[in-house]
Amino acid sequence: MIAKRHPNMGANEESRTIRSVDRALEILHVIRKRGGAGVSEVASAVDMTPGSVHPYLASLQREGYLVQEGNEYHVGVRFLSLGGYARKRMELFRITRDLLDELARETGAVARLVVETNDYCITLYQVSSLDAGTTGTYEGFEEVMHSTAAGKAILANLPGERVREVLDERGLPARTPNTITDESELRAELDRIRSQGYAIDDEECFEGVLCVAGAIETPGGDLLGAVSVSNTTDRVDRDSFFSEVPDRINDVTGVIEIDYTYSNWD
Amino acid sequence: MSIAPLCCDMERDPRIGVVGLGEMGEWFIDITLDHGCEVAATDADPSARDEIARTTGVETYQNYPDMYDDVDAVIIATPNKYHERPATDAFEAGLDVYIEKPLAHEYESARRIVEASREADGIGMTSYHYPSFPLSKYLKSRIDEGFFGDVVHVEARHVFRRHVPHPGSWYTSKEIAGGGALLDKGSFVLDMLYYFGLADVDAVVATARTNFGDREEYTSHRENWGEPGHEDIFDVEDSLSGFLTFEDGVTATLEVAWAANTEHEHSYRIRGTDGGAYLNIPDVELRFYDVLRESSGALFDLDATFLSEEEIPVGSDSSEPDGFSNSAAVPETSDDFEGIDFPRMSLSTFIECVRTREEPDHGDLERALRVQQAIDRIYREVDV
Repeated sequence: MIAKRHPNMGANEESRTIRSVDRALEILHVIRKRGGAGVSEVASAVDMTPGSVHPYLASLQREGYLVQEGNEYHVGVRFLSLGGYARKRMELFRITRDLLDELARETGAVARLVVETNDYCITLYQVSSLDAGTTGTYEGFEEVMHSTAAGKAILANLPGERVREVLDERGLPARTPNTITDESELRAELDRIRSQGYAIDDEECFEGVLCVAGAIETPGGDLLGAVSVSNTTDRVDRDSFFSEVPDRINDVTGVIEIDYTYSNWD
Repeated sequence: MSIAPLCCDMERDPRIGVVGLGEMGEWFIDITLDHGCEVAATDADPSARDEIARTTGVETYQNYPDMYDDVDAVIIATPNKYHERPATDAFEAGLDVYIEKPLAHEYESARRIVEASREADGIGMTSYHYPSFPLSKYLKSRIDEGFFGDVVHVEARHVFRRHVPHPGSWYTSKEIAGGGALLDKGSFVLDMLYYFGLADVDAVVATARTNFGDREEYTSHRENWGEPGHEDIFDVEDSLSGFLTFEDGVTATLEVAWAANTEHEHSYRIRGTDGGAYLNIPDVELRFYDVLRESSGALFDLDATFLSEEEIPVGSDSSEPDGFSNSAAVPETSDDFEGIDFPRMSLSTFIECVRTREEPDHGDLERALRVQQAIDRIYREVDV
């Protein structure tokens, strides 16, 4: 899938190098999606022979990016050192963290900062109140955009051509019976989000999980990401969750927008 | 703090930089241009810079430190949370600094600003302008001369029917503004109480409410101050009632509101052991409650009024401030309060002081810091 983003690979030395990086990344994503996999399972998933896959696995394992448990390979925690660093250098993360801690405390729910990358939305920071249910997301959680409130809030604020690219690239796969899988229905939903200023996810990504999200946009019009609040249907009343949380989300996204504009100004 | 002379040619008009280009910033640019100053402007928000350049033609800077190299004085009008760095940097650069009130969003930030001002040569001033109102000055002179005996209690009210500032913008964000009606309007009241001479706030009982600010039919009301903000933030109080005890035992009731279903009022009732007074700023009214001490203890009232120079009685007591008489009960004045443009008056004072190197008659930063401390104190009691 990642290789598709680089369709012009030729046969020269540089391209072969790029291809092997792409292969390694593809292998990692296969292992993650399957919750661990053995050599032959990986090989058939990426259309290679077990013999040609093995050196990739060995290199990644040697560097701590894969770990072997029995006959299965799993993603290694060393990726956290890259992820943690990637996150730490983001101004948006620094500004947002304390605000989300407070938001989770006030709402008794799970608060997340979500950004778009490679047509997916990825959870950059997550904090959970002790009162919150288990929502299925975690820091680093990556999901197709149309199935989550944060992803829809971001989509609703992307230029039309970017929305087209995302839909072409990632499609509209169903995550639950409530996921919007019809494009015209999704477009009507994005219109609604733009007019009301926030997005909701009514068990569209995980059954039994509700979510509200609002996009973060600078005064200059840069889309930075989204803030979401989620909880489980057994912990909250659906109507009051969807009526009370949007105001709190707006309070926080508004503050982030102002902080982002002024905090590093000199 | 000693004020250093203007660094360059005293003959020319001062060059003034405006930091923060919201509604106040735009207003300050108009006023400084009216004073014949050369004006520069800066904001972190590029769209605000472009808009100001288009509408006023003033030179804009992307970064404030670059502007500081080219100006004599600055006006800080950024969101409250972002006063500190441009203000302290300006003091360190030796500039004269006018800070739109409140000093900051919270006490510690305000304290760092005032500490920077203590080290600096430039003029430091904020926009708590009500002490410069002539009736305020007159009342203060009567306090100082002992008319009230011991002041024991003040009833202070700064209440609007519909006056939520830019609902939904940073003005109504606890995080960015630092508070609601107490910080915005109560700060003016506390500045007046400290101007009158009260000691620091000692004990507080208070209740804060949000009854109007998050209701669409109120926040979009045309009499609010400014357009609604696109950020859609509202997490501050729109009214507060408090009972304050000061360190010298004086007490005060405090009523502040951006919105309340009652009459618009900005007033102070001062009660002393020997006399009392009622100052109503919008109505331009100052009444004294006096006692004939020598005879029967009979009670009588006196209204202070503005007098033009021709109206001042020949031989009137020269110790009284210019332009006032309280020698007889006279009808209430009909002076048009709406005609008094306090922000313009206040900023004009600053510009004049930049020219003349004199100390401003109001907007003292040390008192403003006491105000900020009192506000933090009150919010601590309310937030429990």
